[in-house]
Amino acid sequence: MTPLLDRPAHAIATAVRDGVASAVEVTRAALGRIEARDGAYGAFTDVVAERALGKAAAVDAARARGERMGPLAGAPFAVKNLFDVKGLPTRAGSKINRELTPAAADATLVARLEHAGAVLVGALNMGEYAYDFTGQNAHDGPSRNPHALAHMTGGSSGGSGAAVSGGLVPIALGSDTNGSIRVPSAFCGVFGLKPTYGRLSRARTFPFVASLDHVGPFARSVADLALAYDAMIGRDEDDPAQADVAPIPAALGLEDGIAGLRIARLGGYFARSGELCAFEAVDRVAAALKVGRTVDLPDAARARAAAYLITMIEGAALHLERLQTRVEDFDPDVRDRLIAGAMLPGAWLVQAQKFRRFFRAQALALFDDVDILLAPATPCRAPKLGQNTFTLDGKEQLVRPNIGVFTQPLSFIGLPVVAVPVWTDGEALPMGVQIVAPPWREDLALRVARVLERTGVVAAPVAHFA
Amino acid sequence: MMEKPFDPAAFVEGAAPLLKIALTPESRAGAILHLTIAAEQADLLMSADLGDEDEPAPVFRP
Repeated sequence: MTPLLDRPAHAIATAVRDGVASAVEVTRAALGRIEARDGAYGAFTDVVAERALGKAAAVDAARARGERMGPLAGAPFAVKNLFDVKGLPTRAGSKINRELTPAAADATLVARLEHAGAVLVGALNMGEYAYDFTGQNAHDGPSRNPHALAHMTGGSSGGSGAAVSGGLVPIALGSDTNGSIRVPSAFCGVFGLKPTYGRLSRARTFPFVASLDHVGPFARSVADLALAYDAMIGRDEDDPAQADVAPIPAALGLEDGIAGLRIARLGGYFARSGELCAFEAVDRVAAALKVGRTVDLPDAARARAAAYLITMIEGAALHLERLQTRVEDFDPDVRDRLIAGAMLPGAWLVQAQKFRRFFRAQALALFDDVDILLAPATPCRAPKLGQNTFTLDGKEQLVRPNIGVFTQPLSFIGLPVVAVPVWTDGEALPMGVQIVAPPWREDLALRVARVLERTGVVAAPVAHFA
Repeated sequence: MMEKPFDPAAFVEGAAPLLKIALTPESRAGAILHLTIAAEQADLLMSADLGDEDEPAPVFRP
């Protein structure tokens, strides 16, 4: 019989609601599995066992009193360590921030998942200050890909990808500025949702690039993504960047299928500068959805350039004082990009933001004629840990800044994306495909992902633990 | 007049004191590398055909 922890969060919640398992038993099992496996995965930086067992006991007590149970009752989850967790310093992958005063309150999204009955078990490893696509960390060590331990998880939400694919938790939260949910989802073979910019509250998360930062969930099932998303939507006065747009819950219509949806794959920029396996993964998804149409999103390379420069400049501005006073305490790979970013002309930032508005209009015009776009998530499978370069378009390029070539143009204009994992026989590591929807239509992207999951084209199995 | 080629090393050396950032040989080399990559990206971005009236994406709402 499949261990409960290998099952999705909604199945765990059903078992807890039905009295088949207690939340305390599930939490103990999760804590035990973290203890047994995380030495290999490097996913967790903090485990909050006492808090988790207390919350689980409260869930069980609520059930005993006959109270209504939340949709995620008793399901363990963990969060990238840039989310505030009451009592922990929010390290954001850095050495410097761990000297901060412990957080006085949880991030809004942590509180909302717990309100839905989920049980926080800890905080997760990440690339320093989220400026990372690899999942490596100079201070805490790398997170390791549970499907092939010598390979990267992707980043910067590397611990989130590892914790979910390794079966330590069924749901994790991460952040995505240029691809940091979608890249680790693709490399680790799990589902990830980067919602529309301004959709989910960023309150009490450590920022990176205010213009581009998003937060969202990882899971091994599309239904879990939808349930987590629904639990987290809603206005939050503590987040000034949140948009005042009524959210569309996703779980209720998740099984509605794709009849009537106009789906196309992105060509041009999104059909070059990657290894063959990246495009074969899109082929398989397109074939399963009977998609024959290809459309172009013009100027995607320029969009990526603009996102790249906004990231450098805003990221450097955020960290300038630390660069002046604590430069020796940064991860060198992050430090040098931030130093260069601090030196870039202001005119480049203004041009990038002007171009952002132009590019947004291009994308919205495309969505007049199509409902869903398909694109590769990454140009390659997960590289090996420590690998610094790879070959793209016949040219040797740096791994770290280039893993996000396909994710950056889309987050640049805040489009909602579900990353889905595609497996090939004989390959230990998956590829990811991005399912891209118009702004505020996370529900559509999740519906398409669910169709693919139901037909078996995409899947997120728990990695085998040797 | 001939345009003078961009010298990233000189730029990094000159800008670091303005920003009050102390460079080491290692961070200087890294910053030069990343400034060079940024300049390539900026060449592409700055060639976009945008006009004076094009508004930047974020609009402040008082």
